[in-house]
Amino acid sequence: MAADTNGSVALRLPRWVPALGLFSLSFLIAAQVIAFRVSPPDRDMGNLQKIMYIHVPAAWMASLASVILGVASVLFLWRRREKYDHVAASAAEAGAVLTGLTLVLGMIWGRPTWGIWWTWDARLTFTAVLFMIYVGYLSLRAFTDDDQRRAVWSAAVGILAAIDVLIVYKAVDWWRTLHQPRSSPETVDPAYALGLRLNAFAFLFLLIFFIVVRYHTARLERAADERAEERALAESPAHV
Amino acid sequence: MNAPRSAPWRRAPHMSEWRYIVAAYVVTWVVLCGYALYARVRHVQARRRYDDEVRNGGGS
Repeated sequence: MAADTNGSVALRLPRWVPALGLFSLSFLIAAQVIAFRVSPPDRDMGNLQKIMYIHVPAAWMASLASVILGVASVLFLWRRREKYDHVAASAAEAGAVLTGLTLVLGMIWGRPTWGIWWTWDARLTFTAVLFMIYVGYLSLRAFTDDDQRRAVWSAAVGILAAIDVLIVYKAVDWWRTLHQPRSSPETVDPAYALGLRLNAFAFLFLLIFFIVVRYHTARLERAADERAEERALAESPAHV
Repeated sequence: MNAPRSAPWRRAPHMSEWRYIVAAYVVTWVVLCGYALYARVRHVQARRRYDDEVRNGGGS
């Protein structure tokens, strides 16, 4: 980071970040093309299996975002450094998008396979709870003016999201409800493993891109707020 | 996705599957590109506001 003419940190977005965004989207296109070309229709689900290439990676990255949110929240409460609060907020926003996407894709897949858009299955329910926690987290940040209070309260909610994602992960083991056992390259047919891995990496690159851009945005917004506060203090009449 | 024999999706073999697949991929691309665009616009706005604070003291 270079210093600007006023001696402050310029807060430039690193040059590799836009490149990462373009690379991620290109990688996602390539991963989806390869997955469609190499994977035969599933014995039971037919071509609907192809929704797995987006639903499962979205769910994984939503979970990873929750873990990042939880770790950053704990670090903030422990160390009280602003950068951890920025990381947590960045992960929460990306996590909310990916959790919402996971739910919608699950519904689109569930309608033709289960015959229903939604059911109160354990994994589905705790994923919906996770989405509501994200919405609550982002609302809390939007409606709390005091920076310190906002950071502490949202860190508590962030830890809740990380706990919930553990329940989402174990839900298919703890409760025998409608959602099938978890899918991974080890549990799916080898014909589907490559497509799943490639799409998972594409979603991982996108998650990193989203978090980095949002983190830099948060730093810029905070720096602008600090300057505005300093200016307001300097311009206000002195009180004795 | 090796399903057990009792899995519910075995009872629905005659579905028009492609409209669901297309819908899923369209939703995915709209959401991902939409959020990427939102993140980009918000970053540009934050950048402008910060530069404005540094150069002009908030009064552009």
